[in-house]
Amino acid sequence: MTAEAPPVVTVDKSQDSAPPSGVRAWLSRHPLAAYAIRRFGLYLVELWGALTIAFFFFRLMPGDPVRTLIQTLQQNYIYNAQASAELIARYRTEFGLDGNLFVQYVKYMEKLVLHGDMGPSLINYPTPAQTVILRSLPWTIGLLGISAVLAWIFGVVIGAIAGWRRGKLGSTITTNLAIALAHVPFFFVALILVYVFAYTLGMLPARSAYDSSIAPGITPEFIGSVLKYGLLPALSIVVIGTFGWILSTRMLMVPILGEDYLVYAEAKGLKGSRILTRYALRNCYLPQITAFGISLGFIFNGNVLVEQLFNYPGLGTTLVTAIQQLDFNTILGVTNIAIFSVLTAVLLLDLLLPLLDPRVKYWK
Amino acid sequence: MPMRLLHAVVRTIRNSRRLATGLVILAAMILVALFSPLIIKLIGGGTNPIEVAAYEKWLVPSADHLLGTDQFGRDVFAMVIKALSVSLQIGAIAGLISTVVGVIVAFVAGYKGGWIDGILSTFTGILLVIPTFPLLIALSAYAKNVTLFQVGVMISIFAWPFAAKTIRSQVLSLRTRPYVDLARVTKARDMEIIVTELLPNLLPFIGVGFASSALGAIFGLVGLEVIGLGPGGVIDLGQIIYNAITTGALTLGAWPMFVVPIALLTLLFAALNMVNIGLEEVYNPRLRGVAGE
Amino acid sequence: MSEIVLDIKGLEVTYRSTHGDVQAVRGVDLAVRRGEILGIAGESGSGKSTLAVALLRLLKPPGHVTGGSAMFHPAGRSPVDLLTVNGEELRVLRWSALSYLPQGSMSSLNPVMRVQDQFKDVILEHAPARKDSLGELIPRLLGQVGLEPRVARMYPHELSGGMKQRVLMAIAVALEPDLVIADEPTTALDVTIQRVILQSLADLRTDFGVTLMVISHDMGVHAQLADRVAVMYEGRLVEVGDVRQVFKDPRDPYTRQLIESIPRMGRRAS
Repeated sequence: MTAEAPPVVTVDKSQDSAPPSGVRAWLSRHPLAAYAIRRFGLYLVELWGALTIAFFFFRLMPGDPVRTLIQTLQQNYIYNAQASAELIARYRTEFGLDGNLFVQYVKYMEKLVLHGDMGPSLINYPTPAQTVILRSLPWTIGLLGISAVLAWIFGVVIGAIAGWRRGKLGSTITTNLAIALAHVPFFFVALILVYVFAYTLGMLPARSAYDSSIAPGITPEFIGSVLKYGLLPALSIVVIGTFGWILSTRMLMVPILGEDYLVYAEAKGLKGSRILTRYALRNCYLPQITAFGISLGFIFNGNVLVEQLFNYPGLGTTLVTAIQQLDFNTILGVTNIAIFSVLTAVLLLDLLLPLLDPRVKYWK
Repeated sequence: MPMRLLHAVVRTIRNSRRLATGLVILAAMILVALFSPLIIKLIGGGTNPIEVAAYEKWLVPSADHLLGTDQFGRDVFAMVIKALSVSLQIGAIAGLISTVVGVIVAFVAGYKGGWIDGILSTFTGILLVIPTFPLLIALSAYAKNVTLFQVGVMISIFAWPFAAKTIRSQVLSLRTRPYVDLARVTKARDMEIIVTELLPNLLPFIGVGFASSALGAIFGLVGLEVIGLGPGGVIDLGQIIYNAITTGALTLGAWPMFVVPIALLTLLFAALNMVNIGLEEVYNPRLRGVAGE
Repeated sequence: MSEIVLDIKGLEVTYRSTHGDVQAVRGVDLAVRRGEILGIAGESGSGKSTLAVALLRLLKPPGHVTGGSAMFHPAGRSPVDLLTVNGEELRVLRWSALSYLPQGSMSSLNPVMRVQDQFKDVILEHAPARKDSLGELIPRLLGQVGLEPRVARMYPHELSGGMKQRVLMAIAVALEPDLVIADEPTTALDVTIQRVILQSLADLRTDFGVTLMVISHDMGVHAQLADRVAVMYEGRLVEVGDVRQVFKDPRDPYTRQLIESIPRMGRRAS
């Protein structure tokens, strides 16, 4: 032993020196809470911004939505060709189309935020749009949610392995396949799957979400039917989604493999599988969690066409039906629900991230 | 100077097999599109093969009609050739508009920074995260009888954020480079710095932005077409697929009507993606250094 | 003469590129004795780091070992040639017999793992029997390099450069290896911390009896720490000898230049 012991390094306790008071002090003592509050504030701004963009986008569209609406209404429900001015005025009020644009906006937002009211639908008049939408929402959340999560898990794992084994034949094939297929619409795969498994082989149903002869309920028959009918649409999302995640994970993985901590792990003589999981994968799946949230909107876009092809009773099909009938409130409602769901999912993932990733700088 | 630029481009392409493959596929498709009137004439052999009732309906593929005929008796192969050129045009129009808008937004946001960057980035971020397809289909549902160019503009409204995001992050990283500081210190004007210092270094990323916007645009148009909301009067690959679905090609087993357009579009998406990733690998040393392929 | 731990003979490393091959290490002969601190000096590009990386078998393409041998004699095991040993045999040898001390400013610590887990994984990999004593072992190792026990629960980004270097030192000696190869252990640290780190390294030798091979461009480091010093220039070993002897009477003109480049206290520029 040497005479001099090395000086003990103390851990830096910054910002603790002068204890401030009030809200600021509390926030500086609880950085995670401060981060959560700030992130939630940003969420509210984004949500407000997105809903506003959607509202004005629809209202400022070329053509006269009011006239189209009333024409459609007349064609569908009132068989006399001429509607009285009084009737038109009543519909204007009912559909929230009276007053100038700003008044309409304030009224719409007020109803939406305070009462969850999206106005009457046209495709199912006089059922409110939110009722029509809420009926289809679970189907989309089930189909899209499960497929998106599965695609993410498969893609991140396969992509990490492809990056890990770069240069090997299997990895090269997987990577090139992913480059070719990552940006193909889900719909293409759905169409091929339907043609092969439903029309040619007759193995699986081509349309709808469950066998209409089975009464809906929590019964094994019904659940089995839902799974069987959901297989093809889900598969089309999972296949393409997986390739997308393979590609982005591999692109994240390759620079990580050159990181000093991987060289160090190798020098430590750890087993390859352990380096892959504890060192490489752990560092590249974290950014992919954020990416997952961001991708949800994109997945919803692709899902619309898949639902439409399978006549799946989710938001996508409701949206297309509403558009064919120019059902203003329902279209905007579906858009708003999709915006709300995606932004909320992104928020939740962002709030989850500091618990998983010690590096996230949530203090500021 | 142009020779040097050309030299740099050639060297870049030679450095990446992926980029080269993507460009070759794209070039081949553009060639087919350019010569499409000639090719269609050759297929027709005197008659117009894409005219209604040019031939018998629903002919199976044969030596005369490589991909058979559709429900109106049109030659599917000729239609696919024609449609490919329309899809490429849309990609080019929307890609160009999106890239220009994206570049402008990215430069203003990335170069100016501060609250302008805050607002523009939040706005771009919102458009990237929220599902915009409902907005696009609603727009095309209300906007009847639009031209190809107008569709391109409509799609660009939703495609530019892809370009803007890619380019902004590059502007941010370039902005802090010493030579830009030097130019600032020597009191060069903003425009001068942008044109002489930043733009040349950003070209590859502008290329990436263009490719991803073009990809998104073609994707968007196909989406519109397959639910029957595309522009009237023109046939693109998405519309052939839509026809195949609505006329029962699926049940009739007329697979060339949807398999061939899907294959062509997949090839096009693959080519654009290869250009994207090829460019990124060439210009991102962290990806290149250990790529090992 | 004491026992030899590592005997390098005719080591050659070549970087292959499309523009032709570059020889980074050209026929190096060097013996490392048990218990000594051997300094490897030389300017950047002299091949000293390549030498270390090649011995640790961490050389990545386009770098290739193109010749020579490096017989390693770990205590209680049969001797092996570090340049040819492969697979499981190499993996088992690592850390328990041959460990690596990288530069602290590099991100060698996994950013998403607590310090204690980065001790644990290597200890459990090579000495699973110590599982039950980990709770005592890790704080003791940290204490050895002057760190508080609570550092164990911290993440790398919460540590300063000097603290990271200490953690890496503690991990390097965790399994009492026969040889530790340290690559620029004090570079990028500020001068006061450098001295403390050098002192800790010297203490580790006293406490653990490890053999250290220290790569550094800084002749001052060798003067303070090493028993013997080897000087590399353009891939060749130009001089090896006792550190005092080399500093007092350098035989090679290049060594003399290196020594003269050390800034000295009390030597005022007039």
